[in-house]
Amino acid sequence: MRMPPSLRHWREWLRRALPWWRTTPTQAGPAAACAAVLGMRELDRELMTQLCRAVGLSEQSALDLVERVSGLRELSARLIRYLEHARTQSEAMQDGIELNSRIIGELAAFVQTLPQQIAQERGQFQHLLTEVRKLTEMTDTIRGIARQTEILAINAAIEAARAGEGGKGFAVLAGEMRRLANQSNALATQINRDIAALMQTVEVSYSGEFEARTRHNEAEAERLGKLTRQLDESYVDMRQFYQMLMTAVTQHNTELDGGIGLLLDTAQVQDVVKQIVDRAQPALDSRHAVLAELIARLRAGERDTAAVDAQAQALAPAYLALEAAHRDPDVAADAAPGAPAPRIELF
Amino acid sequence: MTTIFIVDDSATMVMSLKITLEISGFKVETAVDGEQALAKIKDGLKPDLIITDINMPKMDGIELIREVRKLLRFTPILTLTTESQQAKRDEAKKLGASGWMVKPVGGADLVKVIRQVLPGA
Repeated sequence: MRMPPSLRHWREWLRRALPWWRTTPTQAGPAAACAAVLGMRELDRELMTQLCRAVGLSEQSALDLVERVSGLRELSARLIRYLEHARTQSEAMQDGIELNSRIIGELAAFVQTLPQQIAQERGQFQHLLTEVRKLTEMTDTIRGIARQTEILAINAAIEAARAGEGGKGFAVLAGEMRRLANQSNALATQINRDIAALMQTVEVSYSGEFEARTRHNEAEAERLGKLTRQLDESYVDMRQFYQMLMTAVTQHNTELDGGIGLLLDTAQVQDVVKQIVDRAQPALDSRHAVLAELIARLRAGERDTAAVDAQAQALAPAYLALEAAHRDPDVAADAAPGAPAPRIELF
Repeated sequence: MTTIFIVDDSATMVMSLKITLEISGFKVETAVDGEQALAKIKDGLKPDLIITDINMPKMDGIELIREVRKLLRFTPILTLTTESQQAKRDEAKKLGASGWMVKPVGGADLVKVIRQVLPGA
């Protein structure tokens, strides 16, 4: 090749003659490699930012998990304490339940005897009334006979008087008949007085017995009535106790549901973190490829790394663009690229 | 009982959503990607609501929405994804999605949204 005559063309000649001269001064040799490395460093910085974010999310999620499990543990402990207290109360109520059983037994026994007692007394009264009725009928019969006899005696006396001397014997007979009639009447009267006296005696002694039994039953009924009221009160207590227990258990279950819900929410963070790491992988792969190419070119002695520079410098922006598409709406703008959008949007 | 179909390739996500929604009284069906989800719908599954991730292997959420709309014209479809860019939202909306949710979404908020989309559920 002919040497150009002027210095102005010297440089041009050298550029055509020496390939490495063709690169711009700022990109020649080590400076070119630096640009590529700077591009990769920029990517590394962004990757670190996102990985730190992932670590932060994981850590916070783990702390939340521990806090929520601790909350559930406290909830369980509270329920156990309450159930312990309830068990003590339940044991105290056990004595009451046993007493109630005895009261119910006594009530049942008492009530069972009543019909028989009442039937027995009714029978006795019926019998008494029947006997009295019989006796009264008998005295009525006797009075009737006595009246008839007296009438006959009067008639006999009249006939005897009519008969004169011949009727004297008949008059004596009539007199005797009248005397018998009077005796019968007197007897009937006595019987009636005896019946009355008997009734009075029965009334005094039998009704006294009946009265005593009735009073006993009344007292017993009153006693059992009081016990029944106690029974009712203890059942009210029991009902209230179990209602409180039910309320406590229901409240516990509601709080437990809430706690479990929060725990499950924490699990979603794992997916977010996984995706951050998943998105970092292709960026790292690209970085590796660019670095490998840079090393290959430098080993080959190539000075022109413009293409590799461009690739390296594009790494960080490409990664940032990908991350921007997954920006968390609640994170501050300086911690996450891109514009925020609402977390929930219904169309 | 209201049936909700969850489509997500994250097992953790699926399990946590399933338990949360079952506690709230919903019946839950699941699929690990768009392809499996579409197969289940073609097999006869008729959910009352579909909640789908976007970035999934084999068939992503956008494609799933497109295909599901050919079979179920009126079933509400919500996305639940880490994606937040407006272009994707607009694309999903255009294809027939009913809403867009960015992970993580608390269980209480999720149930609230479901009851808004399905009144009476």
